[in-house]
Amino acid sequence: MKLSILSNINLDSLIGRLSKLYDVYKTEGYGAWIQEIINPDSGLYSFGPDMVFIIIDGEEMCNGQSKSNSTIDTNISYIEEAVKNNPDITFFVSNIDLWTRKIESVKSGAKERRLEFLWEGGLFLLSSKYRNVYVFDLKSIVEDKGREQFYSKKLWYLGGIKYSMKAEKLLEQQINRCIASAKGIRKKCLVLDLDNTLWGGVVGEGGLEGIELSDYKEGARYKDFQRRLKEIKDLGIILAIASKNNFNDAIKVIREHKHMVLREEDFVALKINWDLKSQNIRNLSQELNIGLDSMVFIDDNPIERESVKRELPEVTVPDFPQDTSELVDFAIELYNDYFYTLNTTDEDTVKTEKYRQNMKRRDAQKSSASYEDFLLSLETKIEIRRLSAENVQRAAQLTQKTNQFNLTTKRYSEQELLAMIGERGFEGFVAYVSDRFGDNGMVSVVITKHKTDSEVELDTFLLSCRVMGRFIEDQIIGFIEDLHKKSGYKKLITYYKPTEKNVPVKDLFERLGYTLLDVDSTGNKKYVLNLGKSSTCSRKEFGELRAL
Amino acid sequence: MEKLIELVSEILNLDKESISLETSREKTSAWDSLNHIRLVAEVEEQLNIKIPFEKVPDIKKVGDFLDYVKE
Repeated sequence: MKLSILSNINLDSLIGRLSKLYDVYKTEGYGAWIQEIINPDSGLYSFGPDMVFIIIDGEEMCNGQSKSNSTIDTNISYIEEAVKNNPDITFFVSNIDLWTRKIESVKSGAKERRLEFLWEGGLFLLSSKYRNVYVFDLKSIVEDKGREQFYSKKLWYLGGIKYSMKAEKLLEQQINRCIASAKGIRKKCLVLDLDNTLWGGVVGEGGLEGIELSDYKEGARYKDFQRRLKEIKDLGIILAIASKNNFNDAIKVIREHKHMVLREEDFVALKINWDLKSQNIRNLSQELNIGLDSMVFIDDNPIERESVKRELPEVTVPDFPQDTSELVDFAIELYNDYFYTLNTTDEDTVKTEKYRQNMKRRDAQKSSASYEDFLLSLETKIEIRRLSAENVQRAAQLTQKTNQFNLTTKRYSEQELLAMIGERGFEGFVAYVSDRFGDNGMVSVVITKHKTDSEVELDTFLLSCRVMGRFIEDQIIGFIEDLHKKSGYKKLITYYKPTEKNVPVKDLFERLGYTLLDVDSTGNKKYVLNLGKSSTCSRKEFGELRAL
Repeated sequence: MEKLIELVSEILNLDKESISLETSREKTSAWDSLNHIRLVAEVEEQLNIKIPFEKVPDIKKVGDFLDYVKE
């Protein structure tokens, strides 16, 4: 990870700390941020960063300028220039806080507010227009901490350093979050307890009327907490329940209590029983096909937390706040630490629904005579399209997040994918799957790479874990083979690069009838298929395929 | 006091064991003028004390910080 922190003030110690974690570009002095970003031959661009953070001090930018408005407009247009010309770089540009402490009459008005707003508005427009720029929310950090804490007068007068040590640490945290989120590191599932977690009190004792959950006063602690959890869910995080309760008592609250924010359809699964929570969580992980290391477990009871930590060390188990008036802060902390999200795709907003459909598919499977009957009964439809600017966001997300059915586990950003398909030699495809239970959306990405006139190789082949086990890969690869055969290729070369998680597809190409060419000492496998002859191996076909 | 030693070791990037109340600016090369400022700011923030602007240059060794902690 190569990054750069540009600023119009001295942030040396922040840059020093970040340099311990990442490869950070060192600017000569500070204040030259505009030259750095607009000059294509600048040190910044020859360094070749993946991400550029531009931290702007508002006072420094606007002070002493008689025409602050036009300074802001010009600077925004410089940033736009840089963002547009460097689609491979992700930019984070801070909003500004203006603490001028000027002495003036009341009537002369707080011009600072309007300038802050002007800058914010300009950035917001850029971030809606370009994929590769985000607003870095400096202003919220200042507001949460308070200016007295954020700025250090002493450091300023002694050393020309404007922000306090504490402020720099908070900036560092925020930068780390942005980096993690851009890399696609995010937990997937939040498992919640019920009694004294989603509501106050114990439903098994007090009943529906006896629990604390309301718009005002005590019960509002829990209602507000639920509201924040629902917002987390809307970012594409799935919620599940693990509670020791009589199912009927608890479900009555979830369905009927008028102050419940989270309802049955907001959860992918309700594990309300008297089994061990660790067992319930393990089952959830299998049923949803989500790794234990992607799960976060919330419970007010320290004994339950300890037990889950001991049994399932991969699961993240944060401490529950001692003081329940801090539940909203706790939810925000959970978001910041585990679910920080730069932007959501359409897929994210309907994720819970997708997983719920999958649970129904599992039930259908249980009642089918054979697995093949079940697959046939799904009425699967597969649609293959070319990878394009319209679908690249989800495709990049899939390359970032797919671990199990991923033959080469190459992670790509949107910009990288767009650059690849714009180049000669690479072709990208994506597949959408739907069935009688619903639409799964985009589930597969395939990228092929031209080698010679007769050879083409598979750079990327992945399938979302949601549709694994349905032999959809057979039809997708069949399509890819046919297409390249028609273009005159004779051989398709494929690879399996082992990771900790992609064991399920270790022998995929053997099953698909490829010939193993080579295995190296680390287990990397290379295969070939002659496209000349018609395929002889047994491929399965349960879906209806439409392509391009 | 333990906290103070910890802060000094963190800012100056030195082993805790090598730092005592007698560790001085003069004899510690890592304790340059920039780190001096950072150290003052960090000690103020973390130990919740105030060192008057005029007194900042007078801090010559780790023990000098204790004058402000006691007050």
